[in-house]
This record gives sequence, structure tokens and C-alpha cells, in this order.
Amino acid sequence: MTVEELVGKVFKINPEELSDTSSRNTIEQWDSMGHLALITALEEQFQVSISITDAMEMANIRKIKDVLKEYGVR
Amino acid sequence: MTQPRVPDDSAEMGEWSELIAEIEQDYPGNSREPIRYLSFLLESLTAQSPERTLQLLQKHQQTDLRPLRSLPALVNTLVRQLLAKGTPYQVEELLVLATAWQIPLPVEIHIALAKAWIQLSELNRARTVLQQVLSKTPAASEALHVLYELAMMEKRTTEAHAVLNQLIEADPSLSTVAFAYKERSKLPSNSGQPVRLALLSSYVLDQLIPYWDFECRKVGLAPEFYVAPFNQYTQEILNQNSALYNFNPHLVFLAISIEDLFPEFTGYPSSEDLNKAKEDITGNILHLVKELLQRSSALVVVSDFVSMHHSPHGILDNRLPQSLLRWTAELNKTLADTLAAQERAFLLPLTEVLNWVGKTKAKNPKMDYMASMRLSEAALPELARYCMRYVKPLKGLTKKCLVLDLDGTLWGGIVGELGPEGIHLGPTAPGKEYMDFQRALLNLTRRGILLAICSKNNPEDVLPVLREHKYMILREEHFGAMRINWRNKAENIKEIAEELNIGLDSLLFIDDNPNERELVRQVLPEVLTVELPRDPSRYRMTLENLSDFELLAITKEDEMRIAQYGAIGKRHAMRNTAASLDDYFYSLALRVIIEPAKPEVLNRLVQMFNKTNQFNLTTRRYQTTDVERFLKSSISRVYTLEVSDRFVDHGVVGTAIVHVERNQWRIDSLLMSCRVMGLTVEQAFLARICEDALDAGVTTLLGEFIPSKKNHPVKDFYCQNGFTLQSDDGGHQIWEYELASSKVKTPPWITLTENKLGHDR
Repeated sequence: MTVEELVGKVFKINPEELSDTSSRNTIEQWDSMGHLALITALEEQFQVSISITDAMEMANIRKIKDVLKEYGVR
Repeated sequence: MTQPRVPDDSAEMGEWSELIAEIEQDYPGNSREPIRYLSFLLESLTAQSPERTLQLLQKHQQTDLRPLRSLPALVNTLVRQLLAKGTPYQVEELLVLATAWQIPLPVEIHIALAKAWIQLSELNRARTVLQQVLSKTPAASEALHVLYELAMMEKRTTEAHAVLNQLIEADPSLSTVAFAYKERSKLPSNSGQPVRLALLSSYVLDQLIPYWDFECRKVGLAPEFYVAPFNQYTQEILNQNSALYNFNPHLVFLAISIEDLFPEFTGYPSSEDLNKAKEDITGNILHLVKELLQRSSALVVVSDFVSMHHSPHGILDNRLPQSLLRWTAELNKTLADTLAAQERAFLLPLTEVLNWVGKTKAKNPKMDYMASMRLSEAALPELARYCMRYVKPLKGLTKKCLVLDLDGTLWGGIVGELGPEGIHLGPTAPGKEYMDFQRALLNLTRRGILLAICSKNNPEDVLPVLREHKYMILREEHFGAMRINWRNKAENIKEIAEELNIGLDSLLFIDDNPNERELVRQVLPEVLTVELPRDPSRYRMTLENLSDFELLAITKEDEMRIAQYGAIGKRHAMRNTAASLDDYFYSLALRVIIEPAKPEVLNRLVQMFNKTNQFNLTTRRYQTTDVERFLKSSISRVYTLEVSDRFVDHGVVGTAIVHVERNQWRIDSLLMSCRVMGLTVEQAFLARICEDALDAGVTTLLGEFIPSKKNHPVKDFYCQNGFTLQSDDGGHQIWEYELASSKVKTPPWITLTENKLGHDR
């Protein structure tokens, strides 16, 4: 599953509407609660445990991908 | 079909003509197969004009296209092309062909088709497509999403609520549950019974609400929630004019975590700290609860305290006066006692709930540190379900009667075919799982729940089982109503409700047959039909996970019923505090039946010969034909050993084969299940064989022993009983015993009884 697909699944939006710049500002459902749900979903999907500082960094799709790379997710 | 043009001029093949010619040398005639050429033509045509391909396929649908191996791929390409370029009408025509050719198409095709219909405002057609998908794959989340949008467009509130429920069943993640909860706030409320639930907590527990909402919706309630601001439970409770009291809740859930009341708990508290904290905390909670009870008519549910860290004392914890684990347990006990004195206040055993989830899974440290969320996504649904155990009786949703099927539900197999002897019900598996299920059902009757039977059977086949089968836990007298006949189960269930004078909505139906369940679900939607798992070893768990049998108090009638069963409970509760080993054996109240094997235990004997490893003197793996031969033989005796103790009836757990030879008897096999090892019953078994041999006028008893990798626990069995070694060739020992001086006796704590199997004759 791609990051876009996962973000789409968590926020119930079509992954095709998402891009690297989709962020907490462009997605209405991505509020603080939504952010926690997203982190949990990412951890489960990619089998990683993301540190809190990294989790706070992940404010748009590009950043999510960058952080995941550091955890060895391809 | 138009005969496809077979190329006669290889120039048409362009640059590959040479290669093709080469291949034709190895596989002459292959390229002349029209079928391959046809496949090629169809592919090209599909890329050019999908509409034309569809037309041709429809025109020639009577032609057998099965040899065309590329047909499924072709249909898949074509359907995608039509979705992009054609109309949904054409897609649907192609789907008709695909169904006729038995070509499966992925779910997303159907969903895309439904969306195309919606664009044309053909909502009914869209609905039909989605319902077809869901009838095959009920968990297709995508289809449910589209169906939900459809319901919203048409303002079908009830359906929209129902689809949201289905959506959560298909994917119970927090994001789906939260989505559904948010959507419901836009929908007009469904017509269910309203219930107002308030949540006060010392940590962030807001995510419980969507799960709790879902559980309420499932049982037809229309819940409203009030969540107090973070960690302001004290102010909310003590302020008469707080939003909490304005909300006028039916139920208040107060969830306080121990580290919020007593921060030292996560450090290294001393005995003095602990003693003081216990007093403070109990006093504090009691004060809050009393205020709540006084100022509102709500039911107050307080969660107990859970230790989510390891003790700082390690394995020494329970040896120290400042033990944290013991302190937590004592605190919860004190709290339970304190709340038990209040009629409307209950202690919710959160510790127990989280144990079921598994503490490692129930906490998510990151969410705790980031957002003060103490409970993980895994714990929330379980907690929400547990909360329903309080909501349901409060709203009168407790079920009063369980209607039970028999074959496959209370026992394994069909009694009408197998007879009472043949059904699976007894102390060994298969059979044990049904006994345990019956035990859980019996427990419910002690709580005041009625049982009824609804079974397609002949009464004369069933009644002997109910009345006489040795291992039935439930007897005729436990059932308030019985419908054992061949009529429609829905009709029977209606009659049961009338006979017991209770509403259909007080009934719960349990049947292993999915068709019967479906029938009752459709005809009697008021009855709660339980989805029983296929595996009977999950029956008891499924039953006990239901939150439909809870009582907020025990009435006088319940108490009387409970008193009748009290004696049984006491016997089981008796704790063994034996001073010596002999006392221990006496306290077990061992009862043993030793008798010549009956033909009906044949299967059990074969099973034991092939399964028993430890207490098995010769490990001879006899099969059915062997055992049958011994049973019929006049020179062999086959014994069975049945054991029961104060707690359990173990059933047939041992067997021996003895060969009769002139002046001596020879023990060919002697084995016993490891479940009854160490109970001295083998002494009784050997004593009986000695007695029978003496009665038959025999002087010598021989015992064989063949060592195996696993039977060393019994290598000294004959030696210990006074046998002398006669021969030993390393792999086979013969032991000898002079019966005249026999000292082998049944231990005095064992009672020998006759078999009085009710179903025997």
C-alpha cells in the first residue's frame, strides 16, 4: 500500500486527489486526532515504531515519505 | 461466427514473418489454428473500438469460446475500456456475458459501474450493482462507502445508519469508527430509544465514544454523549450547575487512572505512602460517587485501577510489605466493597477487560506521551463492549430466554442417526467442548436466564438423551419450553415466546445451522440470533462474550433459584487443605469402575491404544480390527477403567488386555491416560485383575513391559507391585507374580462402583 493510499484510507478521501504537498492544511479531517490515527495506521501498515519527534514532523505527505525512508521503509 | 481470415500471405505479419516461419517448422500447423488468430483480432479490435467488440461478442454469444484461453483477460480489458469510453449500459451488457462465461471480475469494476450509474442519476441501478457485490463480499468497504453516499443522496436515514454499522463491521479501525461517528452527527437520529451517556476521565478517552456509539447503534439505541473537558471530572461533579448535570445523563462513566491520583505509583512508594494513598483514593472516589448519586439519577460506573508498569520490586514484589501488585488488588477490593454499598454505583473491572485484550496490546506508550491517551486502539472496542453490560440492563435490553438447537449445538453429531451412544458428548474431545458449553448455559440459568429447546428431531430420539445420557449437563427440568418437531423454527420460536409469556425481543437464538439462523433473522428480526462459530470449541467463549445477560441487581426470585443450586456451588468451592497425602487422596472422593469392555467403547479404546504414551506398559498400537478380535475372543479379556473424582468425571481413561493361558494369565497391555496419573487408580486396576485371576483358579500372573522413549514413568510398575523379573532381552521384559501370596490391593480411599450408565440398556 502506498502512503497516498493509506492517507486516503485514514481520512476517507480518494488517493488520486493526494499529492506530496497534501498536508494538515489541505485535508480537513487531518486534525490532531486525525494525526494520531494516521501515525497508528502508518506504524501498523509499515511495521515500524515512529518516534514522537518524527511523528510531529510528518505534517505533509512528502515529510511522511522522508521519515519513513529513515525507518527503512521502501 | 464469421470465419476469421487465416493469413495466407506471410507478408502480412510484417517483420516477424521469418520468426513465425521458423516456429512453424517446429510446430507445424499451429499458426493455422484460427483460434489464436481470432484472439489476436479481438485484442486489436478492443483497443480500437470496445463498443464494436462488445457488439460482436453479443451477436455470437452462442458460440463456444471456451478454447479461447485469453477470453478472461480480454473481458477484463474490454470492461475497463467500456468504463472509460462507453456507457454503463454497455458495461452491464458485458457483465451479463461475463457471468454466462463464468469469468469473475474484480470488485472495483462493479464499484466503478455503480459510480457511473450515480453520475447518470440512475440511483436504483447503482444500488442493485452494489447489493450484488455485497451479497458476495459483505466486507467490501469501498462498496459500502458508495452505498452510504447513495443512502445520503436519497435521504434514507435508517439505511444510512445501517450501512455505517456494516462499514465498521467490515473494518473496525479507529479511523472508520470515527468517520461513522462524525457522519451520524450530520444524519437525523434514528428512531431508537434515546440514551444519554457521560464520560468523565483523568486521561484522554474521547476515542471510546465512537466505539461506544457503534455498540449502542447495533442494539437500536440512539445515544447522546457528553465528554467532560480533559481532567475536569472533579469540578464537573462538584459544581451543581455543570454541563454534566445539564446533560441529565442516564449513565456516568468515571475513568480515573491511578498515576493521575497518585503519581508516586510509577516510582518507588514506601509502605507508608501506599497506606496513606489507599485511604485518600478510596475516600476521594467515594466522595465523588456520593455527590454524583445525589445530584443525578444516573447509574455511576467507575473503572478499577490498573497497573500498566512492571513492579519496581521485580520478582520480590509479592514478598514485600510495599508490594505494588498486592496494593493495587487491595485498593480495587476496598473500592468494590465501598461501591457495593451504593445501589446505583458499580465498579467496572477494567483490569479484567485489559487482561482479555492483553496489557501489551492495550497500551500505546507513544499515544500516552503525546496525547495522554492511556488506552490503545485495541483496548477501546473491548471496553466499549464491556460498557454495554451496564447500558443494556439499564435500558431493559437484557435477554430473558435462550432458545437452543440440539444436534451440533448442545452435542456433536445427529442423535437421530447416531443414537444416544454415538453423539459427541463426554469428558474427552470431541465431546468435552459441548459439555463445557452446556456448563456455561447452566451458569446462565443460575442468574435467572431461561432456556428453551427448538430442534428439528423426533422427540423419542432426543428425550432419552435429555433424561439419561450420562454426560448431559442440562436436563429436561432446565428447559422452560421445548419444541422438538419438524416444523419451521420461526413458528416454534413464536410459540415458545407465547408459552413463556415473554416478548420476542427478550429471546436469543443459538443454532449451529447458518440456514436456520438466516431464516430466524429474516422472519423474526426482534429475536437476537447469535452468529455461532463453526468450531464448537469456541462456543463457550462466544456465549460468554455476549453482553445480553447482565442484571443490575438480583431479585428475590433470582435468589430463590440460586439457593436451589447453592449446594452444587458449595461442593465445587470446597478447597482442598489436606494435611497428608492420604488425606489428599481421601479428599478427592475417587470413584472407579472396572469392568469388561463393552462394544460401545471400541472407538475410545482404539483412540487410547494409539494416543497413550506415558502410562503404557507395552505401547502396542492396536487398531479397530485388533481390538474387535480381542473383544470377541474367549481367551482374551479386555478391561476398561473409568474414573471420577469430586470435581470431574474423567470417563473411560484406562484399558488392559489379558490373555488366558492354562495356569497363568498374561497382561498383554495396560495403559492409562496421563490425566489420571498420580491418583493411585492403577493400583485398583491391577488389584481387580489379580482378583479375577484368583477367582478363575489361576496361580501365576505374568506382566509384560516393553520400554519406549516415553514410558519410563512406569518402568518400575511391576517391580513395585511385587512382581519378579523372569526374562529380559533388553527390549521386552516378562515379570511374574505368584497370586497365592497376592498383596496388591485397592487403596482404601478409592470407592469401587458398578456402572450405572443411564443409556446403557
